[in-house]
Amino acid sequence: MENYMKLEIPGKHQNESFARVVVAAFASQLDPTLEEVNDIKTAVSEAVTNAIIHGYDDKEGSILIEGRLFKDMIEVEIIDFGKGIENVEKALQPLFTTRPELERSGMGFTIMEKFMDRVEVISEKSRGTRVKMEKEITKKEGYMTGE
Amino acid sequence: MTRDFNMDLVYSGGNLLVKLRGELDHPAANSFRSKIQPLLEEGKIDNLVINMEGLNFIDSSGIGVILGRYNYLQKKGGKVKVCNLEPQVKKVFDATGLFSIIKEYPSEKDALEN
Repeated sequence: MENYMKLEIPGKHQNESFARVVVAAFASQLDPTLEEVNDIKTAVSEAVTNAIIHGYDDKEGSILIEGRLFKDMIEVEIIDFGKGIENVEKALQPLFTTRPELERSGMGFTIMEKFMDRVEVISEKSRGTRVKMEKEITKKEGYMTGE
Repeated sequence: MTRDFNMDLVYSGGNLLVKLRGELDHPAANSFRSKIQPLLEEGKIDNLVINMEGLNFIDSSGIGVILGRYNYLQKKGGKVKVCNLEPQVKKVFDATGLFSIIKEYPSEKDALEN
């Protein structure tokens, strides 16, 4: 592991864009393409929004964002201590949502899975949810890791 | 209105043209809904045209609010049309299958006239 970051933020809506920017800035150390940065920002946005709306039902709660950089890969974890997911397999299905009244598209996990290379969801009822995502960052010719 | 999101509204025939700038995420989607839905419910708008030229980010919350307007207008025989999608927005539309029900037009003029 070449670098790591840990950030704790309250589950407020105004922190969603902040979370995207922080993880994008962290990922930039691997010199990703614009598309790769946007993919990571989008996936982080989905996971953080899920933590706020579903994990905490829009009430106060703490969200941890952890990042780890490897030679050509970024790992991001979004952790909440909210109500947990009753059926993870069902939650991962496209279009499934427990909050249709909020016009949720139910596509959050679908987007995470399409934009990141690996997504793992660990959840326990009443204890919280951990979404761990990985993305390989394309090596570019002539890129120097440099100290 | 969130700091990173802006909407300009223009009435054009039976169309409501909405020009978006910034990021259409969850808080921005709430702003969009609270501004646009009451206008649609007045009953004078046939179609919603969304020009996304300055929109550099969308997530599934943004998709949800657009889908909600589509569902509302569709029952009244109206359409939602989009134009000028930036790469990240196009990628999210693709990933969520939204292009199968909402058409992208080559320009704002095309979207308003067709």
